[in-house]
Amino acid sequence: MTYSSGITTKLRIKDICGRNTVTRSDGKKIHSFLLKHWDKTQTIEVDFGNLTIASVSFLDEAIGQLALKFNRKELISKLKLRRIALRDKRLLNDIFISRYRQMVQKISRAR
Amino acid sequence: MAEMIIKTIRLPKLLTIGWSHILFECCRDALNHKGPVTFDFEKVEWAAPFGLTVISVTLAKCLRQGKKVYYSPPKNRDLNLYLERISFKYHFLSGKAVEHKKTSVELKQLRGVDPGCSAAIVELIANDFPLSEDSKYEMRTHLNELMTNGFDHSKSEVGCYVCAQWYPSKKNLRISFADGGIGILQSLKNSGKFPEAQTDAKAIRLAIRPGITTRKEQNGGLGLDYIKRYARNNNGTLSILSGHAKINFYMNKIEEKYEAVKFTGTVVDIKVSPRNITGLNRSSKYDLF
Repeated sequence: MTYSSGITTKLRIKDICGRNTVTRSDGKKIHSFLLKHWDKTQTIEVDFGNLTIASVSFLDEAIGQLALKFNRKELISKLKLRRIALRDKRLLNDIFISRYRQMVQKISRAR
Repeated sequence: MAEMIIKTIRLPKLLTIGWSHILFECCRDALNHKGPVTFDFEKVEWAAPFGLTVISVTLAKCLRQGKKVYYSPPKNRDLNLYLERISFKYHFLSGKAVEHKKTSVELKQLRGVDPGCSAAIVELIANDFPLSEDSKYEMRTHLNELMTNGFDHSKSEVGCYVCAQWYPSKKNLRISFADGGIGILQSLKNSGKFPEAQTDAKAIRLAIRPGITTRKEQNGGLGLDYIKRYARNNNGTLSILSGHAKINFYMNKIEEKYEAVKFTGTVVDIKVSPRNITGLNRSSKYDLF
């Protein structure tokens, strides 16, 4: 179930996207939910329900792009990933690294 | 009223990426002719996924123009059998579903992102070549990305076409995705974000860079970069053709060619010799989770 207790917000991917977990527009639904609850709660648990997603677009749009808004410390403390397939977790970590690298390049170009 | 003249489009000997310039001329002639056209495969001896997807896009556009389209089979017995096996004629002139056969993923028209298609391609290879679960996952991820890119940017009115062929003796895989859309240059121009994209070749090179996306108010643009890295890590080549440009991304070099005849749309062609990877579940010190 997807709900918010005020302290912890739980989000089940399946509740929001069903089995459509490939495109950016699918991922956008998760991203919007996360942003909506970001400041209202201490932690957000994202439950992947052991689904294998295998999509850069979806994972980047849903979660990876949080790296462009929040720093590493804030992301780690607020976001909890539950029942995520290990390979998806690897891919998501790679996406975060790419996004942070992109931020660094952008800042150094601006200087 | 005089009867319309049927134009015969004589396809070249090889329907491969190396012969793209001749193939694009044939496609242009078919689309420019006002009356019915026959796609004549008589002299064709070899058809790679690239050739089949490009012809399929052209066929679909001809049908959309309301033209009658005819098929003349190849003389080459093996190719004829192959086209029969993938039900080329049946599929494209009747618009019916085809049976999945062992060594090819049927030439398929996609109207939307279809994760089942990526799974089918991966399973096809896994039948002949023992792939680790990590390799299967990696391949699936990149196939999904190709599809997502095609549907996100192309605005193709005939959908996207995918064809994959696994060559067991060479242990290599060729996959081709083609759309009949606006092309990469126009897509970048429409976004209004990339004034530096003035030619098709520059647009392709720009599109492959991480973080480059045409989506308004959005980030993105990781997909093609990931696919390029996948091809490189699997001793492969990524080729992108759009408009007047063809760019081959080899392991150690990039080759750029000018196509005299424009292809309206984009073709992404990948050739890889999949290696068996493991350790995708390993963590690294940079990981957040």
